[in-house]
Amino acid sequence: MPAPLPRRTALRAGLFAAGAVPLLASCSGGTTRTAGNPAYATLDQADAVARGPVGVDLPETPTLRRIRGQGVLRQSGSVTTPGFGMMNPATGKITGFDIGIAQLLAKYLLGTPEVDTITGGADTREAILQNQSVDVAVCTYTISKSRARLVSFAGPYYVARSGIVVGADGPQVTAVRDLAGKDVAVQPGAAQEALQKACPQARAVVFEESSQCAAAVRQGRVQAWSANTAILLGKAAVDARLRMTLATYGSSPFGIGLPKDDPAFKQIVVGFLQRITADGSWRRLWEQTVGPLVSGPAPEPPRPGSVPGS
Amino acid sequence: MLSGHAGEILGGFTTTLLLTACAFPLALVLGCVVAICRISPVRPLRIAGRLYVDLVRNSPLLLIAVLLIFGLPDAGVLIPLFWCLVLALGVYFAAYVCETIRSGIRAVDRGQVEAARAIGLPFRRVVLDVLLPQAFRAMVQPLGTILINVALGSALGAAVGVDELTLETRSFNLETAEPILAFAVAACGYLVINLAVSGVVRLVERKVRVLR
Repeated sequence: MPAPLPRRTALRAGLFAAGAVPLLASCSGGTTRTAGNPAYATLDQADAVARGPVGVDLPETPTLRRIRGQGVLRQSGSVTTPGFGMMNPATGKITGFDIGIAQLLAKYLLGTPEVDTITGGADTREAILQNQSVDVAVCTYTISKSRARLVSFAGPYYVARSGIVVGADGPQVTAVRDLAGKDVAVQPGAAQEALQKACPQARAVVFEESSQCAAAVRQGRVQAWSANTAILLGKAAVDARLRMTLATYGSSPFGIGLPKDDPAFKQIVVGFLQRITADGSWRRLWEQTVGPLVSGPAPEPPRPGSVPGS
Repeated sequence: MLSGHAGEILGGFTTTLLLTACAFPLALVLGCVVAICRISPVRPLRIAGRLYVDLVRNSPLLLIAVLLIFGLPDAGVLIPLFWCLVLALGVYFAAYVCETIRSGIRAVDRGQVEAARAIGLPFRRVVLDVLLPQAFRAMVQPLGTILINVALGSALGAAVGVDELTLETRSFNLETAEPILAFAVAACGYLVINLAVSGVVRLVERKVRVLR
């Protein structure tokens, strides 16, 4: 039973369609252009989820009881982050590493990977976890001490590094400090945070969609675009007018956000992460989502509890 | 916690004010032009005016903003994000201004114009002394509402890289993880703008009021 799209997701899909306008507009330019990495369209984590584990003898906790009562895991996620949570507007399916983790978790708790994705963006994650509008948040959610005051984190389940893309004839960038004084396109959330931390002198220009960031670089509105390397490699590899620099920086530990008031539930989710890293589900999921977008073998999964705030 | 970010949030508030202050006059001028087209006796002008209103009013503001921001550079025109958003707000709300002006003029009783003509007033005085003063009275409130909507609509800047109040609030929240506090502060910012606008509208209304 596929859950019907919640209204907010439909709204975001509308915004997403608006983001497609520049792409359509740029098609009339005459030069050969590609709409994006063809790998995006074929990403599918269904196999990794189907082979994921089901938890047995889980202790009763209020959150788990609520999730089982609903029969579906409600999560705060993204539908605009390639490789992590990206909605295919044609099929309405969300593909990526984060949504895969959420589906694996749903399967672990419920036996079936039923996930209801609510896209509040980076603004409301703490608030909707606290007021129980969602059960978990799996959305490139960087673990930090200030957030750990409000919510619990299980993880990290992934450690992301930021990369930098410039225009084909753009400036030389060999390290993140070269971005000082430059206009740099970022998406709100993890990428914006990482940039502000690594190079506060860079002027962050926040665009909602990755396609808008790419367009802004191509059109010379900004000098660079910084994001998770998986997102950048996917876009830059297929667009001759973008150039991926060798500079990478920062490390954003992504965690699963949980309500603060149920420590026993956090133990269940930590147990889940240990289980999927041990039985190979984590690696399989990586190979079916982020893997096709980046080069090289799957990294070692991080150890839960290894960063402050988790 | 707020004091550490007061500078940025105040800066965002100023940008929101500037956006509103630049976009509303643009909407007024553009809206007047379209309204004149719509009530003119020249048929092609009337059709053009109607097309403008129908087209613009049926598109979401975000769509217009994104079109201007990412479409114009492909046409060879690269203007800063701030002015792109001003242009989008101006173009969008001009359609509403046009309809407000038009309905204001329609609200004046036909007999007024006929009487003015009958006593031999020239066309210029019919329009300036009889028609417009009465029409303006009916427009004050709806124009004030449009001004408020321009201020609120400028929040779309947060989605397209203009660091106005909402974007600065989001950045503040990202750093401090205080969504309720952050957005309450932003709401207060918009409230201040809107209360000021309502106050001014009330003053103007009192000025143009006629005792009957």
